[in-house]
Amino acid sequence: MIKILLTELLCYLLFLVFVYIEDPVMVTAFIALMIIAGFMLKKTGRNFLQEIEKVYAENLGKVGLLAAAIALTVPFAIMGDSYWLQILNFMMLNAIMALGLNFMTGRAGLICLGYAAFMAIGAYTVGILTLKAGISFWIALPLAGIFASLFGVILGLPALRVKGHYLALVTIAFGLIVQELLLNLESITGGTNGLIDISSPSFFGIDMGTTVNFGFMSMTYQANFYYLCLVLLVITTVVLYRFSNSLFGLALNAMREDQLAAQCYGLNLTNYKLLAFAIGAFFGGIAGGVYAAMINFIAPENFGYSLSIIVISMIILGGLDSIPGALVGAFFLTVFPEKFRAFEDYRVMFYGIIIVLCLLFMREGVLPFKHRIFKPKTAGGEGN
Amino acid sequence: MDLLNVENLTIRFGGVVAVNEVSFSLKAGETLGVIGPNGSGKTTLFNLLSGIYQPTNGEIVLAEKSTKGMRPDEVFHLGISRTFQNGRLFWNLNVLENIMMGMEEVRNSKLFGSLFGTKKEIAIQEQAIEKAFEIMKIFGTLLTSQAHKASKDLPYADRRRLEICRAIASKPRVILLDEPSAGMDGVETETLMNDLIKVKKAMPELSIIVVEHDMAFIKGLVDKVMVLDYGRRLAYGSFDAVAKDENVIKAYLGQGDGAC
Repeated sequence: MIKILLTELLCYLLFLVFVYIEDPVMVTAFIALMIIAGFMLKKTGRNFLQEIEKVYAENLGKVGLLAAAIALTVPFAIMGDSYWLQILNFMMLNAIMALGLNFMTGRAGLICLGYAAFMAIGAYTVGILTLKAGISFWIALPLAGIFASLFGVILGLPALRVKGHYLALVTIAFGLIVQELLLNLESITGGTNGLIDISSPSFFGIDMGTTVNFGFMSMTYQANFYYLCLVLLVITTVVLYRFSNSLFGLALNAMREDQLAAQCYGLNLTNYKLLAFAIGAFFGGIAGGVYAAMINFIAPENFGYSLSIIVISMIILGGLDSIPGALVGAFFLTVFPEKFRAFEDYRVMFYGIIIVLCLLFMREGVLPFKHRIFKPKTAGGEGN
Repeated sequence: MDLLNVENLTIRFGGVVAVNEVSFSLKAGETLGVIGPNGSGKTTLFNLLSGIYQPTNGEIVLAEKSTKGMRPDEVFHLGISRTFQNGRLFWNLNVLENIMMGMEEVRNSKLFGSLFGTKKEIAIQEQAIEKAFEIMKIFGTLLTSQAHKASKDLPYADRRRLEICRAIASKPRVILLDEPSAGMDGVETETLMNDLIKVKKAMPELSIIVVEHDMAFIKGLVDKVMVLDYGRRLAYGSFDAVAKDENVIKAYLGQGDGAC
């Protein structure tokens, strides 16, 4: 317990240092130092690392709880810096998407290269419902998830007949179709202009688009959304963890391993594939819904193919089928590029390089999913 | 009435008739050996029986229910399970989970239950694990001691055992074994034979259909033998009768080339 707390606090501290240094040279030096420290630890402190790993693996609930508790303090620790709060909000929305995509692609083995489409559907659902129908954000948000799920099923139907590379192509096409629809259904979506002036939600009468006053300290509106995103991220993680670590998750894993064998052992592939698509898409829709309310402006180009690639590179970096991996992947790939704003033009290239490097040298990602869902209780123990 | 009745089963792939008017029947607890050279339609026959292919003609009736138009998962629910020639385990799942995948409980678990971790759901999981261990015990401690290992890390012979365990986990009425001895040497084949006899003892009501190249392997195991050649049924009957059949000797056994 104390070990978990200490290691998490250490990571938190390192993160804060990282946030506070501005000079790109210093940042590079800091990252280099961290990498060297990481290698040193791997070489000399192997026992220590293994011990930490074991403690973490055995107390996942506590790890998550502590991390969430620490995350509550972030807005205060960075003194309400609106720029960094916004980045962290994006990070958490990315993490929600990465978790959703990870469920589809990592757990169920259904490759999806058009995940941004689900975010787009969620964002436009919230935008249209709050702007044109005057529905409250809190009702529109779950509807955004449900609509995205419906589109997930619609994507799933043709995808039932194809697998592997062909499935990847179908999902790319799906992403493009959704984007084209958003561009061309001008009367509903506003076409290239997108939707402007989406109102911020109000929470028990407090407009979330205004500054918050904590009494001793007042913060920009981003802090409101910080806590909203945090709550949603925790819910997403818990829900997907539960689904993954159940007999349902096991069946999805079996389907990923060998579809034909799974079918010959009684799995109704249609149901399981559609469910995996629907559940994965739901969280994309939720992330999109929050995005629309937070930015107050959405346009089709926000949800292009490159966003799909960014999300998939997060789960590849973190390790396919690994929930902690998806979180870590989203964290690194959102926070690090911010320090290198000067090289903004090369951003997508950077994601491409990450994917290539991971696939070449680190197929299992940073935090691979090592232990299985069900383990024998007696003898043998953890194994590998 | 026999448990399994197959009548005039035929499948065409374009101009090729891979299985041609094959008929046989099987009682509960009986074992049928299917032999024939490579390309004689043995595996195609299994794919027909398990619902992967739909026959062009003919019918498969299990316990008075026709499997016509059924998907593999529906055929499985009716009570036919199978192993695969090249071994199709769920490679990254551990031994325990592989067997659990063969069980009904896995597919009946409810989304709601797994989301909230209800008592019922947890009880189902624990029962499934217990049942899986019961099944593994057919092979003594060979599998139970490796239950935590990923199935890709198992030695070859244990993979075959695991595949058999997975196939019988759902308590099927008929199990189809597709060349269980493929790639094994003499000693391993003999152990496998004994393993199968153990399974038969543990589950006396289970009917088995086993595909083999090699007649010697199935000699002590089977009640009936069917010989296939170019998709047609060349001979069908007791082992001794088939072994003496002139057609079989001419077409398959008696050529003395030893290739099969």
